[in-house]
Parts: sequence; C-alpha cells; structure tokens
Amino acid sequence: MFNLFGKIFLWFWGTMLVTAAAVAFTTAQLGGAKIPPMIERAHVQFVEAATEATGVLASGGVRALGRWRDEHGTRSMRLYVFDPAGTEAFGQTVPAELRRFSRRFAGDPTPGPMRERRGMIVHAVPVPGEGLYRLVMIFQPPHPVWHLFTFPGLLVALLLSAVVCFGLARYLTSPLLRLRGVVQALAGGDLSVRVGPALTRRGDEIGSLGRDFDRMAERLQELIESQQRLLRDVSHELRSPLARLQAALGLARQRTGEQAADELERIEREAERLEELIGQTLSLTRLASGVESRREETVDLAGLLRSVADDARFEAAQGGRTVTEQLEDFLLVRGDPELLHRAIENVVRNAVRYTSVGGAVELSLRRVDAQALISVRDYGAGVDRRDLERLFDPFFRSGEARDRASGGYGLGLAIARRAVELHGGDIRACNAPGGGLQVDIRLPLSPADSRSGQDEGE
Amino acid sequence: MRILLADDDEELCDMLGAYVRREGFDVDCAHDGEAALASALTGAYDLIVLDVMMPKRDGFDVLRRLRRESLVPVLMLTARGSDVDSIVGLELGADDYLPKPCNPRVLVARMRAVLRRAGAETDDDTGDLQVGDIELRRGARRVRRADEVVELTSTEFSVLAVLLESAGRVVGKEALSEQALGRKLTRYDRSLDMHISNLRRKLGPLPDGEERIQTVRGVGYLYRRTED
Repeated sequence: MFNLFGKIFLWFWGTMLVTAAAVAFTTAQLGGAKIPPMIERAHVQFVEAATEATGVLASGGVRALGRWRDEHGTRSMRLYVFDPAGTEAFGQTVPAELRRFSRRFAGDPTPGPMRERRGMIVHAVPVPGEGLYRLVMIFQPPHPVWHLFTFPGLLVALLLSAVVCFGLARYLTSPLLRLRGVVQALAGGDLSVRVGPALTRRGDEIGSLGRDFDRMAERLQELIESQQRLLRDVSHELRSPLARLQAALGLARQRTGEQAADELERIEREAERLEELIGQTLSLTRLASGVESRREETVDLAGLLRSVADDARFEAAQGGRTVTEQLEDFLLVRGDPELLHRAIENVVRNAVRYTSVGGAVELSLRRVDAQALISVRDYGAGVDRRDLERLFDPFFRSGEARDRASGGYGLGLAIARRAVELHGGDIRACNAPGGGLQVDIRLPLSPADSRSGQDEGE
Repeated sequence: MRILLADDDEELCDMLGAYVRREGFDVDCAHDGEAALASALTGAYDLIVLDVMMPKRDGFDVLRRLRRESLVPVLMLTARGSDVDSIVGLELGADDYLPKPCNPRVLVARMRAVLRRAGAETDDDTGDLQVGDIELRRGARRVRRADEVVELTSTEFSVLAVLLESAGRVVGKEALSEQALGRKLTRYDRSLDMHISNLRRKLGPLPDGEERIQTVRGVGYLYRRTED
C-alpha cells in the first residue's frame, strides 16, 4: 500500500482535505462577529424548539416532554427538566454548574417570561397538579467544521479530489513502473530492451530519465556486441593459421619419422588444445549473439541425461571415477536437443574432471513444480563461496591450485549457462554438504503432457 | 583412390594434399564452390572432402546440388564450434563430418572409414534384406520402401543395413559405429544420432504409425519388426 503510488495519493489527498478544513476553520474563527448562516439557522431552530418544549411540558407534563424529546430532540440543544423538588426529571447527570444554578431557582414560585442568556434558556413552567417545573435548554451551536458537510457538494468535491489525486499519482508513478520493468529486463541480460517513445517523448524529468536510460542501454549493447564480435572474429581468424599449422605438422611427422616424434607430439597436443579453445569460444559467441539458429523439439531429459552419463562414464573410468544417476522419467522440455545436450554434458564433464580420483559424480533429475531440476554433484574440493557466482564466467579460474593441472574451467560452464538461459532456465552452483560442488540446472517443463514421451525407447 | 579436396585456403589445400598423397591417395584440389561442384560432378572421384566455407558457393550448396545427381561419399569440414553446421551437413547427406581445424591424421582416418564402407558394399551383392515394407539391395546399394526408391547416402545405407540385419534386436552404439561408420565410437559424438534421425525422416514411420528405429536408452538402437 505504501509504495510510491499510495504515498503520493494519500499525501496529495490528505493535503487537499486539510487545506479545505483549515480554510473553513479560519473563516469561522476570523469571521466571529458575523454569525455564519448555519449557526443562525440553528439558533432559530433552537428558539422554536424551546417554545414548543415549554408548551408540551405545560400541557402534558414530563412524560409528554420526554416523548417530544425523543421524537424531535434536536441536535442543536440540550434539555434539562427540574421538578419542583429540584431533581432532574429525565435522570440525566446534571453538570455541576447547572446544578448550582438550578438550586438558585428552587424556591422561585413565579413563572417568569422566557429569556435567553448566553445561549441558555431557563423557563419556569407550571404543570397542573404537580407544581412548578423548570426547563433549562442550552444551545449547542454546530462546530464550524460540520459546516462543511452540510453542503451536498462536499461529497462530490471529496470524490473529485480523490479522482484527481489518483490520476496524479498514477501519472507520476506509472512511467517509473515501466522504467523499472525495462531496467529489470536489462539486468536480466536482454540488451535490446528500450523504454520506448511513450516515455521518452515526455518533456519532464522522467522523460529525460527515459532518454538517458535508452542511451545507456544502446551504448551497453554496442559495447558488448563489439566485444563479442571481436572475440568471434579473432577466434575465426585463428582457425586458418591453426589449420595450416596442423597440416604442416602432419607433413613434418610424415617426413621426419621418429626423429622428433616427442616434440611433434607435444606441438600437436598444444595445437589440439588451441583448437578446442577456439571451438568453445566460437560456440559461446554464437550462443551469446543468438546467431546460431536453434531447433525446437520436445526433449526427453532422462534419455538425454542417460546418454550424457554413458559418455561421461567412459571418461570417468580412466581416473577410477564413477558416474551414478537417479533419473525421473517422462520429464519433457521444449528446446534444442543438441544445445541442451552440450550444456549438460559440459557440466557433467566438469564434475568428472574435478571429483576426487576414485570418487563419484552423481546425476539426478526430478520434477520440482513446473520445472525439471537437474543436479550434478561431484566429490572434489568444491569452490570458494565467493567464487560460486563467477564459476559460469568465461575462463574463470578459482584458486591457484586447481587451474594448472586441469586447465581451469574454460568455457564449458559459460556455454552451459548461456544454453540453459536460452531455454528459459537457470543454472546455479553451490558447495554440497559433505564437500564437493553441486550444480543445479532448472528448466521449465514442456506444457505438453509428460506421458507422451513414454513410447520412445522402451 | 581419387580424392577431391575442396577448400578455399590454397596453402592449406596444398599441404593437406601433400599429406594425403603421401598416405597413398590421388588428390585434386578445388578452391571455390563452383569448381568443386563441377569437378565432383565429373564422377572421377571416390570421395569429396568439402569445406563449408568457400567463395561462390558454400559447401552446403555444393552438397545439395551434388546430392541431386550423385551419392559419391562426402566428408564435410565444418566450422569448429558450430554444431549446426555439422547437423546441416549430415542432414543434407554428408557421410561424415570433421570440425576444422583438424588433425590431418584424423582426416585421413575418417576418409579411409568412409571409403571402406562405400567400397565394401559395392563388392558384396549377396545378402539382400527384406524387413517389413523395406527392401535393401546391397549390390545396387538401393533401398525401397513399398516399392518406392528411398535415396540414402552410403553412410545411411550402411547404418540401415546393420540395423536391418539385426532387426528386432538392439544394436549397441559402439557396434553400430564400428560396423556402419567404420570407426570407433568417440565420446560425445552425435553423428550416429544424426544419421539415425535422417533415416527416420527419409523412411517415415511404420505403417502402424510407430517409429521404425527406436532408441534404447544407454544401449543403442533397434529396428522394429512389424510382426512383433
């Protein structure tokens, strides 16, 4: 409720009401000599009522007066009746001042004329067979503020001001909400979002904020795109010399025979490493720029994970490592099977690489609400908590120790993250209780019935 | 064995040509798509090694045109880092692919594997297979579905032949790769899956609407017998 909209609305409306009340109040105070018409009207009513009450009491006694009061009792007066003994006949509590006053009149036998003093009428009324009653009527002028409510127009004014304030608050906050949505989208990685002309066309500060934002987004997009283009071009250009290098290397091997076999093998290994790196960089830049056209198919995750696990087992066996899987069947997602395969494979291979020798890599797949949750857990050294977020950055290396031997994380996890994001999912890493790294991949399940994948493979 | 090496990088072509020649092949080079297509269509070659990126006509285009007239074995050199290239290549009927840059040793091994299976089947004209509505004639390297010829590349033909020989039984991925592709199954290799999906597409489903070739998770593939 107390968001900006609520605040603006309440503040403005409140201010309007207080201003109106203050104006009415000061008018009433300053114009003291001049009795406001409403009070005058109320006073006339009061005098009329007093005359009538006197008549009712004189003719019908206290009981009749009580009935009259219930029926006609006006808001503008208070009524007290004292019997000949000086007791208030309606049993009302009498203000101390009035009690003294009534005692003063107790012995007075003569019914005097009706007179008013300082808004109070005291009248002696003889009731046949009972004696002399005294009637005290006190004028209750309405508070100046109530004055306001006697206008039928006030309610309209109130509603109207509410509408105006509502509109004002809306007018001020809705562009901010729109801006916020766009900022969130940008923070989420969509560099192509702009606030749009509806906002930038405004001539006020919000309009300039919108224009500045769009300029910033534009610049950001340009920078990132040019960076990616550079990376792509460099990788691309590196391929030709690398291909020639490898061909030359092959020729050198053919011609020298065993003479420099070790060295050539070393060169070959490094060339292959370069080759892999270039391939990954190109994959990532293609994914990031969305150049790579993607297929859209229904993918059975359990089947995909099984094939990844089979491949990984092959690799894991070399270090005495094992790969186990616990998979829930019939979880389907929509997406590019190759891309998903690569994403999950990268995570699993990474786990195989970092789990301790002789250790396990655990793969699990289950449904969590409308998402498929894929967890890959290794029993390695884990990753420093501060580095978890950056694990998915390209070429991220955590700590000195693990990178030299293993070559660091390279681009595999960055590719995985990008691929998962392209499928509307997210990927996170945490240190599993008991040691080791756990990577959770969440993918939105296909809206299609999960059972339809049943026929495949059984 | 005559090989056509199509790559726009002349220096690379020269070196690869020299390497491949030393391995005992006859090699010609083409440096653009037009030249490659023209040479390939002469029918003088046993294998075409086709780079995707070439001026005038790209490798995909050359392959597409070539496949209209010829089933000559084609090994695509695809851009490393682009799975799409390899998939498109295999879909268009390449027999195998190799990401470029590549090790020339690996290239020659792939070339031999492709040539081996292309050669093997032409020699052997016994053992025609008939499974359901599919008829496979090894000698003519021809496959008919319900008397209608289905055009398959030699790799797809080999994969189908292996599957049909064991129709109704599961064929392991390793065995299928060795028998049909002529090479060991490498880790993270998706080409077998691609050939299978091409076969599925070209052959269509069984008359009862089921998939002909079923994936048996973690094991391999199975060609389904309709009698089952």
